[in-house]
Amino acid sequence: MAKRKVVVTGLGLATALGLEVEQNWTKALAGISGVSEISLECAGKSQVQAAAQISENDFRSLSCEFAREAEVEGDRRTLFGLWAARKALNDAGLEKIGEDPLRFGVAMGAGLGTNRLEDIARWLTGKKFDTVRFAAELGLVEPDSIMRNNSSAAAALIAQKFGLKGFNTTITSACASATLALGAAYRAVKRGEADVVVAGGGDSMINPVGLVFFVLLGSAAVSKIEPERLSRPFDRKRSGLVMGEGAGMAVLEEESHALSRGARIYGEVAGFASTMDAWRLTAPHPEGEGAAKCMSLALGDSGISPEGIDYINGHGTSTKLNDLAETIAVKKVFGPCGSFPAISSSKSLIGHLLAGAGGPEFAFTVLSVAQNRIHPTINLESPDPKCDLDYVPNVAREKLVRAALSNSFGFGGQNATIVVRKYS
Amino acid sequence: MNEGVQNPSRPSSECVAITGLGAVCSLGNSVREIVEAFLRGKSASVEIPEFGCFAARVQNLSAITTDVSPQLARTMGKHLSLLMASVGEALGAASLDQAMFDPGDMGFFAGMGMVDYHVEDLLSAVLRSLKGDGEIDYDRFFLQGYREIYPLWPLGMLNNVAFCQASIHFGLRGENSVFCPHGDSGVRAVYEAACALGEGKAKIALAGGVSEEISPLSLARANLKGVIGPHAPAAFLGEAGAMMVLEPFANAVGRGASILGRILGFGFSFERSQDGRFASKQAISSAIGAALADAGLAPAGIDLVMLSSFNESELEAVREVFALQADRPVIVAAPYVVGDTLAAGPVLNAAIVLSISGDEKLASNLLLCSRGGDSKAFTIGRVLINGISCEGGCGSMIIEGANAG
Repeated sequence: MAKRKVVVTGLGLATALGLEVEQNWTKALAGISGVSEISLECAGKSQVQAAAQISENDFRSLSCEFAREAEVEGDRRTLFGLWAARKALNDAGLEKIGEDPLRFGVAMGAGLGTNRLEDIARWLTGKKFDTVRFAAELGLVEPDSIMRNNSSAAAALIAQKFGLKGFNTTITSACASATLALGAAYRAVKRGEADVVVAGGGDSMINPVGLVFFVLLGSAAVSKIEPERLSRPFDRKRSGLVMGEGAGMAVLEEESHALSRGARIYGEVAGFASTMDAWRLTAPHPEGEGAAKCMSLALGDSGISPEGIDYINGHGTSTKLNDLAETIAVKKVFGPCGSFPAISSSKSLIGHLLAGAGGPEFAFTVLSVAQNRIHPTINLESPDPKCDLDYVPNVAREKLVRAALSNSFGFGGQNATIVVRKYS
Repeated sequence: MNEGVQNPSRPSSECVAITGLGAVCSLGNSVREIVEAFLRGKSASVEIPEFGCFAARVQNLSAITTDVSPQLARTMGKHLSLLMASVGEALGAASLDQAMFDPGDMGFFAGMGMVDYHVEDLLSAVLRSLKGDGEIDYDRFFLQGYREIYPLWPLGMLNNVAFCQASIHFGLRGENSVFCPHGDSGVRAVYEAACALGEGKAKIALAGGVSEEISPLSLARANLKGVIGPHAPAAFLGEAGAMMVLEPFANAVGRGASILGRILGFGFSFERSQDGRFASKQAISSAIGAALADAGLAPAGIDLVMLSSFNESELEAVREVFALQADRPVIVAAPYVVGDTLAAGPVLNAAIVLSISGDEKLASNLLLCSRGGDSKAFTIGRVLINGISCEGGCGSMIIEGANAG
């Protein structure tokens, strides 16, 4: 059997920059930050005061669109995923799945869900959690609670809503989840397991427990500077990650399937790899070993040499350790060829979407390859001397992008890299 | 793999050998203990009166040496110990140690059940943050209450952290992924491992799964999702971890490994039932049909079916595909004994049948367990194992014991 090529035929986004791909891309190229002061009413005393949130108007729109799901399984990440999946399928011209639905699938990267303090407070008797009363009153558990939302709910609801009855998987590998899901989708199409997979990820941790999550781990940006300047990957004054929320989904399709229906093709997914640092739970390998190996393997999988890569959408979290480790890893992989690709971090614009991060970052990578335009890393005002590559500081760039990588490196040490090249 | 579709890159299934098995569940802390208890018809489920249900917890899990602090290990809960114990046993059974392989060649794929906080991890923070009316005062929470939470508690909430800790402990650095959270993810993990071997992306791969820890939250979720409770009166949750070591057949033979079985085929599909509480019968049939097609087998080629659940849709699908008659295939529902072990289920089932398959007497005992009545001679050959999700995902895999036929 001839080798199957995998192409990208649809994109869908829901981020702080908007609910449409065009709107996101225009703002990203203009270097507009989606980070703002947190609107969560109860968060006045939170150390974290800024995040890249979906606006209340936008959230209302997508909640109305998926009103039934919002009522029963109302997790924000699930609603974002549903929205982005619908947009991606529409963008691909696949509003209706007319043919064999077993050939259509879903791959979703998902985060940890919403842990609500009220789920303890409501069932306290004195100072003890009253398990008996809790068990008798399960109907009172709120729709967004982790107790009503399996991690696989988004993939299940997307499949159910749009009639995709084949390949279906949910990956929970922290910040690498969405890129691993895209990689799983790529391989499923390439192997012949599916013809079309809508893939990516969605997440939201902008809730009270989520806001202290990264404070406890010491990786949240809590500086008291203007919110839009807080996410500053590769900058000397970077102080930690800034949470974002939303989803990014893409339609990955077998080439002949796409051509036969006259679909527009954004680009080709050319390769993928994953590795483990197996180093520390709380820090990347200081020499970027796992990340470098991952990029090298993905290049090998694509058959593209390092010289053929013009752009990297970096993991670029704006934490001290990650940005340095990623820089070192890029130098290891691309150093021998004597030139380094341009790198930019979408997290400077839309924050860190955590398990969903790889979704919008993949969409931006695909658009860079399709349009030869690279969004900037904003807030890169005083570069860290140890991070001394070309991070496309502050201003978008027009540049031939023959092929590009999108990196995601997860908490715990899971690494994933996906390769996109121009379709010809 | 869907019916009739050839897979161009997955290895010929004959090439993938199972060379190690490890498992922990309520019946025991090793494959041997589990099989002995299983064949004795032992059940370790206990009543959880608050929830009006039963559950099968892992007991007396021996202390597992990890590289993390005891407090972090406690935060990670049973996810960590179930995974570490089953990986350790599987690697040992395969006679593999870290010196024998390049860590980068070692693939690692697991289905992991949902992780939940322990109420006591957040209780002090909640108590410090309460207003007089019992509501949360978030100003208090953000100023003081959250400081009551152990700083590394967030790590324990990440579904992949036990997996990453196992990779650190055992030095696994190759292709990997964490699938979530039900039976289908356990089959998916084995499939991805087999593909990684066939595509040359790994030389050895570990695959399997871990259930959820039984807690008020996991019981609540299972109840709200209809996995247990009035809609599934016979069902109960079980804790388990189960892993298998997979290798290209030729490599396993080359290093003199003991071959326990081989992988014959996989099938997957997705559709929620009308009531949204399980996969549809059609989806389950489709996954089974795809696995049979992938293995190149007719339904009559299957000797034993290991069910994933007590759900009527699954039974109906099996009846439909196999047109059940006479005494083939034998149907076994391990969840009757070990509970619904979610992502761990498929490989736990594989561990049980592969341990029995070479022994006609034990196999006959299994037949006796499953049907009652006469214990006649019975050899386990090809086994179909289902992994179904209450969300609608279906996975089926077909394996064969080394001594079959």
